[in-house]
Amino acid sequence: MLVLTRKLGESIAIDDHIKIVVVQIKGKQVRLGVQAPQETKIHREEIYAAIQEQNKKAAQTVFVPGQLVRVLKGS
Amino acid sequence: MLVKTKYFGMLEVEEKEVLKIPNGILGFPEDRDFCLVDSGDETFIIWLQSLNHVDMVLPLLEPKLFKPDYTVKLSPSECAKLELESVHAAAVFAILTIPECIESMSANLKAPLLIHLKKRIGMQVILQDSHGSIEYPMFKQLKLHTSLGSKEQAPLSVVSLESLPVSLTFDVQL
Repeated sequence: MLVLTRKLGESIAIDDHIKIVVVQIKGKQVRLGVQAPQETKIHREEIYAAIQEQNKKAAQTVFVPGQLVRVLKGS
Repeated sequence: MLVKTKYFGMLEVEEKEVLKIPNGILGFPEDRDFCLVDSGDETFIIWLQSLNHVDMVLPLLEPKLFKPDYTVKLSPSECAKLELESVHAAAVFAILTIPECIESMSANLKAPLLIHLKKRIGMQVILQDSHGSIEYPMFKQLKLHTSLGSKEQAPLSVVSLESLPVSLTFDVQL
């Protein structure tokens, strides 16, 4: 992994179109600004882990014939 | 081909009923080929059954049934991955999580499954601009919808992808 040291306000460029700026440093938190073409997908990495977990939970759904209808139509 | 399913016994799945998800479903990297099964009950829920692992099956539901204002915005690169040339050629489904306590069921609105109906390609998309929750509670809305009119009971069947409803709830981001 390439590791670079940057100061507040400095940035790094990725390819020709992506720029990441250090916007704020506060204690253990760093705020980053990302400039990228609109089609670039940018997510906090945790979102991938959260969706994986949710998919796994979804796959634990148990199908019992008639049960869903009964509960959905019940009063 | 004859396919073993987790809940629906052995089913005959035709070539044109196979849904390819080239990038897989997050958390299930080995599953690429699926079919959709209608359990035949009176709910609109259909089941995404993996053809690679019998135990991998997920319930799906069209989001508009419980959240009419739900929209999906795709980036041009996502459209390209899905080989989607028109927004009128795809269906949108939310993956449901239905725990033992059915009233606590939820839908993942942050990462819906998109299906190109003609090319039979699917993709789980993580929406960039949506504030959609990955665990959106929707039992009450679905119950209300079901009380207004449910699907007719039908025999258990493999769903023909071309028969799926085209979703008009999404757009390409330009």
